[in-house]
Amino acid sequence: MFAEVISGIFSLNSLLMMNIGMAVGIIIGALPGLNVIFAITVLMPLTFDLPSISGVFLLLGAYCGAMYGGSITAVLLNTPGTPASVTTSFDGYPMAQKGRAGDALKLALLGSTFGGLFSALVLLILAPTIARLILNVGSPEYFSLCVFGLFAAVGIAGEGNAVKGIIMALLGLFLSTVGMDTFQGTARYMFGETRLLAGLKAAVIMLGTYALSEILVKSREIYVGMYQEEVPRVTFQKATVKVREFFRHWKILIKSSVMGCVIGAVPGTGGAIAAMFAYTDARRSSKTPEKFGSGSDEGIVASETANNAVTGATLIPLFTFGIPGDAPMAVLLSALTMQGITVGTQLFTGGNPWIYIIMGGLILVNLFMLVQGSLFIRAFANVTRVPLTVILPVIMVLCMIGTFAISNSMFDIRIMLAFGLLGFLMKRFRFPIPPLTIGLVLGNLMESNLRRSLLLSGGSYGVFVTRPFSLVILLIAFGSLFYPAIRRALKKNKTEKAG
Amino acid sequence: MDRKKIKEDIVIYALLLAGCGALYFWLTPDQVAVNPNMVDQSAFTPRTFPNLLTGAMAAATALGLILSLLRFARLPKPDKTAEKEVRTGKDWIILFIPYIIYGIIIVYSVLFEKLGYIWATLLIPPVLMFLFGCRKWYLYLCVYGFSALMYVLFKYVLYVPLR
Repeated sequence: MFAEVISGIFSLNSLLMMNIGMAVGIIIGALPGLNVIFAITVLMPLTFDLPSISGVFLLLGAYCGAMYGGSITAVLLNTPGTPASVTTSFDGYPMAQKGRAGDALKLALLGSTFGGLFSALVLLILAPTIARLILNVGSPEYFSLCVFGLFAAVGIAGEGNAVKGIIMALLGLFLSTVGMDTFQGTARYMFGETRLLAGLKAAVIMLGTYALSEILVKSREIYVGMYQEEVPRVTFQKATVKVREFFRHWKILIKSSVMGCVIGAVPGTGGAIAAMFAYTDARRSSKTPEKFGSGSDEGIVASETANNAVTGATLIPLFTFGIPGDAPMAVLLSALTMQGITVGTQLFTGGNPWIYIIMGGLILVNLFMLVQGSLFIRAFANVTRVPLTVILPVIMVLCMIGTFAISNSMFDIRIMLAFGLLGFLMKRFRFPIPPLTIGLVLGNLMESNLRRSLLLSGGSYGVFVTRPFSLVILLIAFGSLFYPAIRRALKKNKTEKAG
Repeated sequence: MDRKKIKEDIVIYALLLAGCGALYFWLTPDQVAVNPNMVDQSAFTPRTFPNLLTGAMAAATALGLILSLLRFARLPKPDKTAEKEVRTGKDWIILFIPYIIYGIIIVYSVLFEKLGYIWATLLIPPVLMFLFGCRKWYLYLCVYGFSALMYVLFKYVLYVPLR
């Protein structure tokens, strides 16, 4: 098996796809306003005609690359390319203003690589163990895990937006019921359209809600005058910081990596939260906290290490439970589903090398990030100057051709167009999209486990609270849903008392 | 601004609540058939899960509506003496531009179907770029170059039957 894994990782196809995905990911991450989800959504249609391993490497390359790419605009333009790079801009931009843009980008690259490698190793060690532990988990527990995944997705919606997040998650679940009911073979919400027999394709919906809607949102920004076509030329100085100077921050590296992994493994969190935690902790434990915010090396290292340490960890719930922890993972899951791959514990049993090739390959993906980042950083920095007037028509072409490629059908394009408008309206009226997509990919798993649980219990819903493991998961799920509201209420109470 | 956002929320929640009602009482019974022979064997019919979701959605929407109404009631009364904001021509363009762009994208999809990728892509992206205010000819060439690259990739590498 070891030889199969090695040959799978080092095959020409795999190496090529890792690098293409990485380059596209860095470029998209470096474009302000386009994020990780967008990067893997537009690449997803390319994977359907590729072997599954190459397809996954393409998407993983884009995932890690976009996470790092966000730091380029954060440093050079003070505009984080992704939410995960917000904290990088706190110190990266002041450092660039002091004539150390090269140093800031090199520190971000080294931090990202370290965090990525750390989390790839954590995934390789932990995922098989967790998969073995949950082999005996039954349907009620699986259903509760789905509830947890869904509530965590609502958490992505952010504080104060929970009701809208819940509505979107439920709508996503509802959309998953369209098509043939697999238990009784009954058509549901098909309106006589046989092309809906297999249900709505998550990939098509994601291209509409994430990519096409972005054109409509950005077109408004152009007219509001928020956007200027002429992006100022960035001054780029060569890096002078040495690798050994970077490793002087070893304590921050390890702490930020651990934080990134722990936070990333919890569904509904993500790189932005991990970076914020790591940045705050680094400032608190620093000997020179006054430097934070004005160009501190430690600040950049902490943020970038933590946000890339999330990349491997978010794959743990996806590969072991089949539950996507965040929106990019939901896109990855729908790509895997289109490839006919069922994620979950079965990936780790039966001696199939597939999962080990993917997990081992993630280490290589991070090493390629270091190589590409070191060699082409100047070229990637220039990407920030590509005007939106070019990017938007390109997105339109990609959406159209990408959707058509899924099953060579104009019907899919109509569905994508409809969801593009829906996505725009959702953004316009502040309804979060990630819970919708996570609900959509979790729907079938949730319904089948609910059915099986009720069959086992003779129709009693009490089965979810009488089994200890299921009860614990449900308590955590509801706790995570109501925690922000409780915290807000307590904070308000405290302020009133102090006042 | 807050007042406007809350008003929007109230209208949307009310529409969603009406939508949930239509789903539960009309669409689901109309679109999901239940085999009477199977009902005896299991209480879980193909309608059960969608109905549970509709109920939960209605409850969440009702909660959102109540919270928005409470928030609206707590807002200070607007100053009636203040001059009402008058929308200028630019404001109307900003309001409608996404829908105009959406219309152009629909035209692109129609041309994609009727004339094929090449003609549709030759015609529509430049219109979009012109509307966005792009006046540099080499940027138009960049988009054409990228589109040609995608054509080669999808047609000859991924074997997608593009015209």
